[in-house]
Amino acid sequence: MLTGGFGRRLKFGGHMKGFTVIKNWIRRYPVAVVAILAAIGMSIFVPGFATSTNLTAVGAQLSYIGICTTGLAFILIGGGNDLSLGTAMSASAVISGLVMINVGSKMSTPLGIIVILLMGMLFAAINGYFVAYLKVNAFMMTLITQFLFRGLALLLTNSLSVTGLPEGFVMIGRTTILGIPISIFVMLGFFIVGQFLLSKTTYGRKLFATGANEKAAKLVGISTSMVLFKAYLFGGICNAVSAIILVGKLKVANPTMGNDLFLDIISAAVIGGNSLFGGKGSIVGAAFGVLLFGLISNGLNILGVPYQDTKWIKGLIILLAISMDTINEKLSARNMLRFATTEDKKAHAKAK
Amino acid sequence: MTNSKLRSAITNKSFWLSNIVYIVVILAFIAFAFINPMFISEANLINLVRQSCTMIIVGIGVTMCMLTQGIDLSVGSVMYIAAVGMYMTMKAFDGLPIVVVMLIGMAIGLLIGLLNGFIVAVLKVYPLLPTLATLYAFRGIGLSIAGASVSQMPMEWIVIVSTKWFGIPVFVYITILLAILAQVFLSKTKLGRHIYATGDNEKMAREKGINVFNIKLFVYGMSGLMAAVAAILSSAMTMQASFTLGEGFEFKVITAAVLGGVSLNGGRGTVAPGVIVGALILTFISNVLVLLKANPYSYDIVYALVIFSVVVLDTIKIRSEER
Amino acid sequence: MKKTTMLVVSLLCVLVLVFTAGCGTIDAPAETAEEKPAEKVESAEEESPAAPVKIGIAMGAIQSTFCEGLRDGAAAKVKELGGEAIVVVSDGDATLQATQIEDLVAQGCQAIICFANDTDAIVASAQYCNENDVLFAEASRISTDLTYIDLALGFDNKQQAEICGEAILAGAKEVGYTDLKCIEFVGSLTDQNAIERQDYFDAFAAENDIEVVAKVLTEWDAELALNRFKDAITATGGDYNCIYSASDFLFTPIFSALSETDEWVVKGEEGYKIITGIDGAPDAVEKIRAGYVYMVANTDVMLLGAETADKVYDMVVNGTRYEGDDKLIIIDAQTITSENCDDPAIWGNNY
Repeated sequence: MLTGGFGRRLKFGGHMKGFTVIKNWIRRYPVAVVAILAAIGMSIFVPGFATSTNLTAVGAQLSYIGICTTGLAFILIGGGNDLSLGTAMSASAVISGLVMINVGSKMSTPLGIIVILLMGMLFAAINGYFVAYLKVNAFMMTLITQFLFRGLALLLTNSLSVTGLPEGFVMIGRTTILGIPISIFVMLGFFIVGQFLLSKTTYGRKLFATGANEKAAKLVGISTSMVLFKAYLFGGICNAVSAIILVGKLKVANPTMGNDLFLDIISAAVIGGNSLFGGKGSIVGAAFGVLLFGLISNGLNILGVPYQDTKWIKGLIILLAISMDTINEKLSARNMLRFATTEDKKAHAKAK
Repeated sequence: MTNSKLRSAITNKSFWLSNIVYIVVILAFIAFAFINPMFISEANLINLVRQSCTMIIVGIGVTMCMLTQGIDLSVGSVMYIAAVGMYMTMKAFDGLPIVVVMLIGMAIGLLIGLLNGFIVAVLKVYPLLPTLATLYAFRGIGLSIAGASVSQMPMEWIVIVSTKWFGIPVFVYITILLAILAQVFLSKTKLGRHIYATGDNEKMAREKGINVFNIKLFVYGMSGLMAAVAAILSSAMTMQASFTLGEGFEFKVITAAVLGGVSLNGGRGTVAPGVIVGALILTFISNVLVLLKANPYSYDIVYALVIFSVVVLDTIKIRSEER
Repeated sequence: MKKTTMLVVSLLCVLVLVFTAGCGTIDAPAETAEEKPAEKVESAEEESPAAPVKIGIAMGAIQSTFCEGLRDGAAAKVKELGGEAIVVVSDGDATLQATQIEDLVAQGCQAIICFANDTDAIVASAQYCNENDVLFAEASRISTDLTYIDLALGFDNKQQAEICGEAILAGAKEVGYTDLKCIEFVGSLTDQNAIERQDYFDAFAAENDIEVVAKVLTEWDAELALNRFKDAITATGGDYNCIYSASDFLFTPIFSALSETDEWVVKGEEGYKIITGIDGAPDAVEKIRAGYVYMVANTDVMLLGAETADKVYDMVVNGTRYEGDDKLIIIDAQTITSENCDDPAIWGNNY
């Protein structure tokens, strides 16, 4: 029987009435409050924000970050990390692009999609294997693969963008319905699917358990390595889809196009409550984290804050997010300990 | 080594895991000496040592952080801020003696390092993410101060690299001296032993009465200081406080340290000969790549593969020891 | 308790945003005086018409005085004409530049002057501007596909490369070098200018008996240039006597490396290398004056920036449009050697 912080998450979406639901929701996701306040505030105070041009642009900008953050959230919850998401995005896009222009037939767009998904999953599998099975330090491993993928992308293209991509592939990221880019709908789709997987399926429960306390999870019979590995694979899929959308934005496959996105992605994930320590988080939180971070980025750009200032402001924000995370962890460590001990005791009793 | 010792060493899996990289490198070195005799020319060898110097200097600081089971990814950005700081000082105060400017640069590095250390000591998460954040933060602040303009160093600054003793630049001697001093400090002094202890097992170190907080402040402060010294050297080489000064450098330094036997899990490793050897190996690899006329874009991949093998081997070794 | 902490810290993030918002919108002439050169240049409001023309200047990485000169030339011209110039810098990141251009459009810019990071990727942004009725002009870095681009001003890379080649030949005659061996510094291959400067020089060298013994791929980065140059010296055994650099901001690492081998000398001394380059930046002109560098191809980048700004402003206010071949305007380069380096008209002497 799972108790403590765990149980509350399972109760999400349970039978609580009206106002209480909203109040509970706000308490659980303070990020949502801040994000919504920020959105309202910016519409009022920042000139040029609430225009349709800007909002569609922001929406599109959020989409590739949002989908990727969903994947990262899964990995973080499982107790892992992936610093290579940005460069993996560039590498997958470039490889897919090269395949498409060399095949050059009617089948090239579907082929390109398949290739990019495969590459995304391959890169993720490499990370996942070494982190989940061989237990290499996740930070170190993905730092290395970050450079590996970056070098790969540059090497394959000699640092030039891959141009002449099939129209069909490029338009995926650019299609709009009623003026709204479909990438936003895709992002929302990922959010919904992701949150569902986390809160309503057995896999989700296993993932939280693995991240919270791996030893205890193993004792209960969860194959933690497989669980974490699957999280990485999911991250890889998300990454590949983000890559497709990003290619749509630039219309070429630029070998460094995703490299600097990593900071935005991890900031959004951590701000959204996905703990670096594992075992805690949600896609809902991540979604609002993406929104908040995207709003901040957009706001800084629109207000004409110089590029170098946005860099340290973002650095500052991620430090704040990590502080939040650490404070949270410290305060709930006592709960975790109790939970783990109870589990340990039960498993120990079972094993006897 | 006696015969039986040699035999047991060769059959010992642990021996291979630890030393395979060095063996491969020695073999490669000999091979290249035959393939391209220019490789062992005096000019090339001196070049090798010269190019390793910035890596060794920064490596001193980063190794100290790694010994405490931490890491400092922001060294590249600290290098940049120190360089910018020195440039601005020289612009503001004409005719200031170079030594003073260097001291100011080192002070900047030290202060920023201490700030880093404070953040890391307070936040209990593995320092990779905090120092990643400070990497961006400091780079941004530095760019802000530099005011988006190209910062050329004044002509006198070149003496830092052009002064020579017996045909070898002075900074090479200084680098080796610093590395040896650092190692002596780590092995022989109480503070040095405490650093190792903290990395070995932080809880136990705390119980023994070691002030872990201060230790962390110290090592990150040193990291910042060393980064500033490296910045002096680097900015003198390019004669600019280039925007991209130090970018991506942290990765190379960590690779050099890990190659030299410094463990990512703390508590193990040396600056001399460890980091020196690691840096030389890395420079050797890039040297070889150049002489082979390899595509420059392959360099990153090669470095990544090298550190990858070392990390994986290291992890396998630790896991097998645990059993 | 912990939720409150999260809330408080999240609110701090928003405060940071609001704070920077306050800094951005306050008209602060004192602030712009402190900063080097102003990021947001406001027009002289007493004299200009009701709504000043907003022109966005989207810069790629500022890696050299050349880039600075372009930015400043354009921004100053816009201000002079009574418009408002908004400068953004994207430091080599193509995705960021695309995002910044989208945001500039959202801010209400009527035209964008762009110094692209990646001339291939920027086409998408040009198309975006097109769709939003915003003019898109390129300065110096010109895409091969000009369909969506309304105006492009640049320099003649072929001419520049060739006058450098000719200078090497002339210099060789002066100092008596017969066997010409050249180390070539190549810029970032995402930059069309770098590609052309390399290709045309290589063609010239092939036809004129100049042997390119090594190429230094600099990616427009001084540190990389220095390290790879030193490696090239090793690989060639130091056997070279002339240098061609795609941009003269690379003269500084060249100076550094040559100082270490005691080969940074003036014409006629032992070890003298015939050094040529393109751009005409102030410190390069200085080096010519001092006798170390033989020649640079002068590209008046401030003029380029100002001309682009001028024409773009005209396009916005008067509706002028350029079609077909007229879209591309090429500005000539001149040769600067020790003979004419004190000419006051050279931008390197005025910056």
